[in-house]
Amino acid sequence: MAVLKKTPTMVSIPNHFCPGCGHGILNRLIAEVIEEKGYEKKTIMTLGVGCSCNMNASWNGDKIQCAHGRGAATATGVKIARPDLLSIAYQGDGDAYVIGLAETLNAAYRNEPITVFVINNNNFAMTGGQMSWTTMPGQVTTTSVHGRDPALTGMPIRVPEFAATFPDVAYVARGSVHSAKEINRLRGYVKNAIEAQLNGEGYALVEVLCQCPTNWGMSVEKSIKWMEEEVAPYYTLGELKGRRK
Amino acid sequence: MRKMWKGNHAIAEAAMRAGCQFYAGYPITPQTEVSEYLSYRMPELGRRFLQAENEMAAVYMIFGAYACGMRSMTSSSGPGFSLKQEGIAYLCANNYPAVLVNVQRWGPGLGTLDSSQTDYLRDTRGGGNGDYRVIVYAPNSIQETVDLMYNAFDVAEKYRNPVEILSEAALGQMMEPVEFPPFKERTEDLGWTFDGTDRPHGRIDNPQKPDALRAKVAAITANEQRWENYRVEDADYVFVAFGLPSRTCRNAVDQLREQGVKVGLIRPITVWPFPYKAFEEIPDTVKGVISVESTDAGQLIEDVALAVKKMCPGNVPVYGLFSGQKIPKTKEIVAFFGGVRSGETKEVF
Amino acid sequence: MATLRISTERCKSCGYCILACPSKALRLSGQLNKEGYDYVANDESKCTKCGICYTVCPDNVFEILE
Repeated sequence: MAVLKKTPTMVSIPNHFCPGCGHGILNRLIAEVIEEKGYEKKTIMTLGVGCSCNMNASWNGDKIQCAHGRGAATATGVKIARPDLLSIAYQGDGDAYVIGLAETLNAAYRNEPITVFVINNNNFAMTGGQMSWTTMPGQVTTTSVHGRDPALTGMPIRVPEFAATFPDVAYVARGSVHSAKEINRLRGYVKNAIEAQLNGEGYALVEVLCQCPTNWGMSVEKSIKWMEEEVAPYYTLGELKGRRK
Repeated sequence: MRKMWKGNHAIAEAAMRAGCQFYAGYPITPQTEVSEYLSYRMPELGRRFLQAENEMAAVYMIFGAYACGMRSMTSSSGPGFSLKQEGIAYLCANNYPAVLVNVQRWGPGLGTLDSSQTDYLRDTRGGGNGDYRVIVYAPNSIQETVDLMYNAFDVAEKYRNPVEILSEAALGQMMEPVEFPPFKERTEDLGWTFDGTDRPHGRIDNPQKPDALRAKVAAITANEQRWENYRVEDADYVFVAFGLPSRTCRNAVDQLREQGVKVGLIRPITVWPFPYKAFEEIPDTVKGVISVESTDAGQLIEDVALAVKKMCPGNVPVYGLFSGQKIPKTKEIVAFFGGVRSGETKEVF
Repeated sequence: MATLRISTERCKSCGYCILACPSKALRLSGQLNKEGYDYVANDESKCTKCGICYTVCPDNVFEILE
């Protein structure tokens, strides 16, 4: 049976991500939900530094570019000034979990009524593929050329699990874009994270496992297979904290 | 009616009178009373106070809120203000207004809690990466602190540029009689701010370019220089001092004038833009200019020397009295002047 | 009758849709778009208009219209 699909206007401008990069999929899911809610002209997207900067050229809506790591703090300020608008921080793992770990966790801790999306592609992609706190054991990056050694650099960080322990936080989930099935699940997480803010329920965080074929040095086929077999088993997919009924 | 107010409480109340709707900050001595006061005062007025996790987060909260047009401010001191520099550079890069308060303490790194002016060069030169300037007011009394704060948001919004109040530890901690202006509020839309509709954000769509910065600096330099000259018109020697040292300096001028020595005082109120215009009044017969400042090795003196080069004919010597981590006493200034006059003390520039 | 619209100029030739298509209807066309990518083409006889290509495509190449 045919399922009608139309490109949302907020992603109607061609994006500047690399071929096969999963960012574009999350961009579209967010756009779909915003348009479903009728918030195209009532959303301010705060962009972190990293590949999310590419959205300056393609995200067809209001967007503020802040510094590396300060997305949650900036989105907090936006929400304080305009509580009537949807305030979203869109960041990568290096941005939100490494340099911006303090801002990310403190915004969650205070239960700021913002929605944070974090692309986790297991590396610092914009700067050319350096090791991130999310890099998998053994994964080769330009700063872990023999593969990440957890004995020296720690095991990959799981921030959503920690954020979910704060008592008041409204919604925390981790999705992935490595298959159509997971993308459809992720759409539900995106929707919950946005609805939680619109309903005044509090802070919401959705981490998204995302392929980075360019910096992983893999085809899309290999990338999604690696995500399914290696990454997703470590980074448990699903809702880590469901919305209160 | 004038009432006794502590400097840090007065600057916070003045911000409320000026229409500040949001404050974010992190505790650091000697400015913490700004946060403490606002933590209860702002909710009383239906406004937002937020104790941030660190200085950087505080400045980005202001960044986000002022991008949406909300009058917002943050405050800090010494090393805390250093941490804010990243965000201040981003404010300037995007042409966002903001109001910043630096209640200076002494020294690099942790430093001490002593009253000083050792942040002068950092704050008048931008302080972060790239080329930009912050408009910096340097009051010398609590009443003047209040009056400058009252206009700070208007000036910041006019030029789409951060405005800083450069206070000093003693000025923040001491008490003086103050009269507050009435509450005011900006109700009109600034036109460029973020409102979700993706309307044009003016200069933000075309990030800061060299020409744009030159034009902004030229306009601010032309319009915003503020100073107070005291007995300069016939002076043989002119002191230059801002903030608290300007008060002891003024006493020194009076004492020396009583002795028949013709001295005067230039007191910059804006330290950026530096008030070059104040130096027009210096007579061509001037024998020397003396920078008096609470720094260790001289900071204000660099601007004084440049101003003297530009405004005074001949090679007028520029001397420096650097009092380190305290305000120079009147008698120290008078004694220093004796050395200048006798030729014992050598010029710096 | 639904139709699959392919905005070939947006395609970056990543091949995710080809891997995901349950009907094996998609392939690279062998033609280059303006950006120089070998863009995707659809075999109408196999396509069921299920929309999975729309779901996985990072570049919004596909739309299914009435």
